[in-house]
Amino acid sequence: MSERPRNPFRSEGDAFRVLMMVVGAGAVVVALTLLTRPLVGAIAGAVLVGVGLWRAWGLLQTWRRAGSDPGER
Amino acid sequence: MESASAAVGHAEGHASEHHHGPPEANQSSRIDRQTLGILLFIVSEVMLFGAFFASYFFLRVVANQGEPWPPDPFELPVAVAGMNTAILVSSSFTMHWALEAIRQNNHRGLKMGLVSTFLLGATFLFIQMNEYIHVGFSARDDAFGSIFYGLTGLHGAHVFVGLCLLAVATVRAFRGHFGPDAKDHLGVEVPGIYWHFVDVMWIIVFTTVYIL
Repeated sequence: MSERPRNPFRSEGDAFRVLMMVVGAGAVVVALTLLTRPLVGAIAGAVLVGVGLWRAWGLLQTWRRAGSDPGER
Repeated sequence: MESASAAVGHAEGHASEHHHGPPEANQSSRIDRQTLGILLFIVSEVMLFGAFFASYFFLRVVANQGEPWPPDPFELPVAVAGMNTAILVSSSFTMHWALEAIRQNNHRGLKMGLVSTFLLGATFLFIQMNEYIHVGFSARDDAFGSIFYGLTGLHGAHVFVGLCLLAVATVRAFRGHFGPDAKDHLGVEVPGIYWHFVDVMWIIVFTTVYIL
């Protein structure tokens, strides 16, 4: 079977990686807002949230097929 | 009567042969229960925050009808909140350090990481409370005041819960309860996942309330 997807709720390391992605996205939104105007930052934030939800949906579908491996720890 | 007592004796005999106490709870073969527990908890908290954010965006976009936001005379200490953000993000680094340390059986690193995380989290909460004292408006002042204190207060409550979890984990770490195997440091791993979730929520709260 192909490599199992990582679950950010299973290990702290993966949750930390998700946090770093959110920090990066937040930095992009803050920078755009301060450099241009709040509407631009809000649009960028909405796009990034959409990307995150799309990625999470894809992972959920993969977990439904591949299942969760208790031995992954 | 005799048949009833015989039945009880028969059942007790069976019980003593197999196990004591209630039967094992059903376990999913697809996800372990610790992960399922924290997953369900975080998902429910995300929904709670989602309701508050929905209220915030309704007030700002629909009810405010194009007026300036925050409305006059409200003013938010963005620089202080930015510094608080840096403190909380740093606490996630120290939490990650603590987990990496115990995975390598480094107990000193675990203890230092947990104590640092706790102190940084407490500092965040202290600065937040100080901000409430000096911000110049209360939750009763207009809808903006209500939603500001509602969102940031909800997050502050989560930070407090996280500090309680960290305190327990720190005490256990100093008592030598944890080991390098994954199953031997769940008491640090699960609070670590929760702490990162709290940090993620603050990034979103800070960006939405203070910046946008």
